[in-house]
Amino acid sequence: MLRSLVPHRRHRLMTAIVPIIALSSLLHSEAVAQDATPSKAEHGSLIRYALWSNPKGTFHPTLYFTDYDRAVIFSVYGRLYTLDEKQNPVPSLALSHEYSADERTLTLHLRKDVKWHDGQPFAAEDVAFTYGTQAHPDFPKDRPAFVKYLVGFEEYSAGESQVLDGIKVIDASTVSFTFKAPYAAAFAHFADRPVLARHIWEKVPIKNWVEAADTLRKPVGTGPYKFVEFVPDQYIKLIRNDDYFGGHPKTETIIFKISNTQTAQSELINGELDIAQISSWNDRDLQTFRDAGIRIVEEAGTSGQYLPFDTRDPKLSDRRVRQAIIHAINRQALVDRLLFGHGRTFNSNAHPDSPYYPSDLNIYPYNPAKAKALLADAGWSDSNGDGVLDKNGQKFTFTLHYPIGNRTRELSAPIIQQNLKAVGIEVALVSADFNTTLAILQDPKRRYDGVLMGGTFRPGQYDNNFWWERFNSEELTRYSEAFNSTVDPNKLKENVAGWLRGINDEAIRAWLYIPNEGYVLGPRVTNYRSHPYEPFGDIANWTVSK
Amino acid sequence: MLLYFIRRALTAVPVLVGISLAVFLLVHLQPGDPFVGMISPDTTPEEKAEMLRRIGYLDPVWVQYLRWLGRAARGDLGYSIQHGTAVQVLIGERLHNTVLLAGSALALSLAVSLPLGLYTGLRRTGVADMMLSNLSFVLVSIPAFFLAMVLIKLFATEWRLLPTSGVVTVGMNYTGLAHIGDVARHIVLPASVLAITNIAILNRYLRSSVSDLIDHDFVRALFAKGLSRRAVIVPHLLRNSAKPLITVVSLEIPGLLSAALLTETIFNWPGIGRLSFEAVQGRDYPLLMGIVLFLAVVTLAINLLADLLYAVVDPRVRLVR
Repeated sequence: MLRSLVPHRRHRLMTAIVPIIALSSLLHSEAVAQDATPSKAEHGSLIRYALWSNPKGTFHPTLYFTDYDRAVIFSVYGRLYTLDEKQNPVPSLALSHEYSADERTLTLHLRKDVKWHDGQPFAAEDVAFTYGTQAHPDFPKDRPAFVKYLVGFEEYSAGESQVLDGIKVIDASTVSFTFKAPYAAAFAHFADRPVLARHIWEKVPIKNWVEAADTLRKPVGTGPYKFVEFVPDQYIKLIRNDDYFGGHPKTETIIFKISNTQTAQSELINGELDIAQISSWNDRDLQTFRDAGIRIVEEAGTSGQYLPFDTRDPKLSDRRVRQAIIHAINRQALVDRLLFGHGRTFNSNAHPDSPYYPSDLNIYPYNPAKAKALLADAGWSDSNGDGVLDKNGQKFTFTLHYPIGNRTRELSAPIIQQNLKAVGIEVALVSADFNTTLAILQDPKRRYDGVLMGGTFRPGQYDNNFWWERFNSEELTRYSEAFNSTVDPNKLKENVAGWLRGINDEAIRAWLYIPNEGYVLGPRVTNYRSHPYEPFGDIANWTVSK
Repeated sequence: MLLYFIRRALTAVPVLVGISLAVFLLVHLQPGDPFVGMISPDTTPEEKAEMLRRIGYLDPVWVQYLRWLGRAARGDLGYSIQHGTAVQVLIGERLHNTVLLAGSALALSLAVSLPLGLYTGLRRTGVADMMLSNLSFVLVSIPAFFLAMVLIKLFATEWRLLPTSGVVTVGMNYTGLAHIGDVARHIVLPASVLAITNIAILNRYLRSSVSDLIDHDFVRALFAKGLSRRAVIVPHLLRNSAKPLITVVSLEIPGLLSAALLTETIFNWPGIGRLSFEAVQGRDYPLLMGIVLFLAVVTLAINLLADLLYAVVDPRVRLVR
């Protein structure tokens, strides 16, 4: 459910099944609507939205890998389904769906009135092309779980078959997907990967897609905004799509301006920007905004920070030791001190707002005494009185790796070091750039103690994948096979909850904190709405005063 | 002269190959790879290896280097891994911005430091000289990023006089004179940050060079002949102090290009500096190699140019060797 979190990129890592049940979230998205009657699209209206880094220009729904490209893609391309505030799928380019009797085949009925920005009609062929090419032998990226569940994936991706049996175009507005077993997470994939224009991309050989800069940089979609221009390292300009199937977009021009967290504050105050993400919850920074008449919108966070353990390590292979480390870390203090209270803790590989997140998880409260007791049970004691635990003459040392680039995460490392020292664990800190640090986790032969990492939750998908922790469990695999072969909400809930409880009990990582997300809105912004996972879901209704 | 030029250019080739090999090996010896940030990090090692094989990344390092070198020799720097765009295109898109910024900074620093250096050189030990010398030391010691933050705080946040980010005001679509004015407003802060440390350095050089010359016998002789101050300073003093100045400036230009990395990042200036920062972070080695090679060529070319300028200001320098 988490995409690993880097300041400039986000990747997918963990997920959370398509939610069907309403949930009481700590924080809900907040609408800012001072202007009760949304103004008609004013000519010349303009919103400038800050991006923290230059998009790579990969404006392609199945190839992009940064959040900055994602911002453009999700404003330009349409999706089959979007997510509502409760993370339920909402039909968008699709109108409705139905399952076959065995629930393995999902048939989608599509809108018939949609046109691509270049005037070509949108059709089922586009949908089949978008998801089918992810399974193509030449597809130049890693393959998503979705296509691996499709019938005929192996034969097609190996080049043994010319057709992918799992995707069928029935007529111009009907397409079906057949999975090896009922697959509920399909909707999450549809909400995450917009539909490509086949008539444009079929002209480029798939193996050349990542180098097709001319096509990548001129996205043609079906979404609320049409792409106008990309001036690298400066801005991306979009203009209203008057034929948008979801209604007339209210603001004429959207500009994504490349900015950075150092200057965004003065740019907002100076009137050079209208909307930016909050990068610091420090009260002083917030007050500077408030003093300048800039509003702050706060919502539940969608990314979490955590500390995976190498469960093959002789010290850490004992579950009690891993649990003791979580008890020893004052996670609430991390939220209070580093996020100024604007965040929350979590206790398994899913967001606490996920509808299947069990309420009876072990919350591993901060308790150094309990931690010491667990360590003593596991045979660790301070036999020579030097303040460091030992066992069979071996000192309990722990090397904590962390990547630089995320300030909060960097600051958390010495706090964790102090916390663990208090229970007799000697922690050495090692920092490096993001790629170097992630390479530790990605190399299965490499031994480590712990690595600070982060990722963005992805609602609707759970991945039974613990190779970062070098961990395997038959029980967890059983749960995962069960929830990945049903679309029955009750069975989903039961098995996902069981899976999350199992992970929580095994304590294969220390789940640290989820920072809240926030946006600052300049005085011109009159209507802005977003909700977790869908920062641009309502972009067609955003308005500004002149 | 031409022969000298060609010989110099040819000796640059092994230097460039050496630089490219060093950068290539450094990038490849690091743990991790350029694709770490581009694929789902939970992709299993087997799946990732399969993907890397599909795109040809798993070839031995020397095969990859020779392939790169072969292409580079034909003027093809390859494709950026992260941008999916030809490296030449990426550099070309940003080059004019960096040249504009570095050029403005250089012009600004020369315009300020020349008269200052001359003045303080002629009036050593004066009060103004003492104050300026001390100020120079202060300015040289201030880190550029800190100076940038102070200027942003004062000129943008407090007084709201100048923009802090980018080259143009987005969404305004200025043209003609209005466009030039807009760019000029945007360039003031980043160029000032770049120029201020430079001013201090150039000022010191010129001051010591002028104050050195003024004690020379030929200068005394000129004054003894009854020439006016102006007649001594402009044709004689300035011309003689130009040589060390050319050396310093030619060394400063590559420095300006690399200092631009920080300034461009802070002020969102879309130039080569930011591009190389991203390339390093993303292990985008084709892009990084392209930028390093480009900067190496620029540095060598400027050194060559400096040699030619020596001959212009000092006829005693004969380049026919």
